[in-house]
Amino acid sequence: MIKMVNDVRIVGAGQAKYSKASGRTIPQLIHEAGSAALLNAGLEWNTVDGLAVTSFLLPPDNSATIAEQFGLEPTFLFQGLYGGASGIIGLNHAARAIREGACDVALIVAADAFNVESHNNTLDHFNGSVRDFMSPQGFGGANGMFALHTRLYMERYGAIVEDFGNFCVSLRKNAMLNSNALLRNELTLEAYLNAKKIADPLRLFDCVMPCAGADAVVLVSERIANKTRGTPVRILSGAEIHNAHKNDIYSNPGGWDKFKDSFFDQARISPSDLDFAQIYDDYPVMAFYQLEGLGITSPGKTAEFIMKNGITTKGRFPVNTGGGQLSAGQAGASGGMIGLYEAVTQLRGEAGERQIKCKTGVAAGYGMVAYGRGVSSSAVILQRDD
Amino acid sequence: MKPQPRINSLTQPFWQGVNEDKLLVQQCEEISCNRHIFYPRASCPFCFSPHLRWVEAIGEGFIISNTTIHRPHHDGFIEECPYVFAAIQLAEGPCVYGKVINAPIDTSLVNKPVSVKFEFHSSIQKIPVFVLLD
Repeated sequence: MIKMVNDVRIVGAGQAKYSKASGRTIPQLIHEAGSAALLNAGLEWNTVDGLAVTSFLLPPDNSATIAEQFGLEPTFLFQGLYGGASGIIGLNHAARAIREGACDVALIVAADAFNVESHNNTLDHFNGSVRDFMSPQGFGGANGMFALHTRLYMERYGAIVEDFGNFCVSLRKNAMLNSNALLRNELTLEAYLNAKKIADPLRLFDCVMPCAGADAVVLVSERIANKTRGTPVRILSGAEIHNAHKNDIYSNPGGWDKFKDSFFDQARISPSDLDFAQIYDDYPVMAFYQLEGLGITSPGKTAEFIMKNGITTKGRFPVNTGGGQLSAGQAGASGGMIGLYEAVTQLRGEAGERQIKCKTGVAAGYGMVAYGRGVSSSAVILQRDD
Repeated sequence: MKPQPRINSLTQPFWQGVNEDKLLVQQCEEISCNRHIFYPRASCPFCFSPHLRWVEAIGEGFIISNTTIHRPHHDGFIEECPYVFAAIQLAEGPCVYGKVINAPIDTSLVNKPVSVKFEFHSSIQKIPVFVLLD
């Protein structure tokens, strides 16, 4: 007898309201985003039997105690400990769990509530190597760490600060169509260049604004998908890698190039088949490394690609159609879910004013900054199922 | 007060060395490996050997990349801003991080040679910093 394999569908996406100051606890933010995603799917909380939670500020609580607080009885549980790579990793793990029959309705959610001070404080003790061998030495937090990669990218490819500026300006145009983005006033290249220096060559608008927020998606088995509302989304491929380029982190601070070939082979598509990319934009240089690592652009040619094609919702290859973290704000670990939320929302045709024409897209995550770069990279290829 | 390193059985030789104006790094004792390692590890990340010894680095290297910190991550550094912070590749191979105390701000110093110097970080603990050589 042939064993039936459950396939999976993403059937809902939701966000908590993004805000500068929260006033909301992490469980409240998780609940707000989770409720929005379930409502979007047409499902009730009592159907949830799988839960993946990512939040830096969750301790002393954890994913099991969140299940307890919400009155869930899950048979699949995941807690993301890989920062901004975790949301997509949680989705991929939940997909495996559903395919193996471990659960039917998995809620994947990330939430945090940061300001500049608490963000720096968290990063200061992020892990042993940062705490003992970068922070006392005055590394400048994530800004300083990624300023080093930005400088090196400029040296290696002859990139100029305007290249990163054009990326930020485009994302701001996208954010202006997103009511849940925190930075919605127009950003000109001149204003970008005149902004105060944070960690040379990074200026203010190269750095994400820490904020409060939460993002969630609902992943279900195929048989449940028929009972939900809206257009389901298929997962064509998912991947993660940790500690890539371990002996030469300054050659490439991410790991997408390491899994690109098998990632697209599994999806049976090529990068040119993608209609959009929702990537982890904690700093413009990391967005460049992601587009290049995934094979969407060639190494060193991302700025040229942006100018030639356009990455706004009106462009030929839209990137971070909700404004990304750079314009929506970075709600801690939820920065790793905001792209996934946006990808699902676009593919379901529910993006309102900023809706683009799309069938297939990629979302990527990056996180857990350690000794000089983020250790964890993830990505998923999604396709509208109609 | 600036953020302080946590000193434990793994990191103690390094921080004691710094207080004696020595830059210590680990070296894998496997003859076939012999790689130098930093930050301190429980095992060799190149060949997985658990046998590591502490050796003194010559204290020279070059700048992999640098930044000028205008907005520090910690209030303890506010008075020193702007200052130059860099990733440095030691002659022995490993990457270490530190301030470059005599460098011009807001300029690329990639590939410039540096040597180590030791400054007081607190009343009881020194820390390595770097001096631009040309």
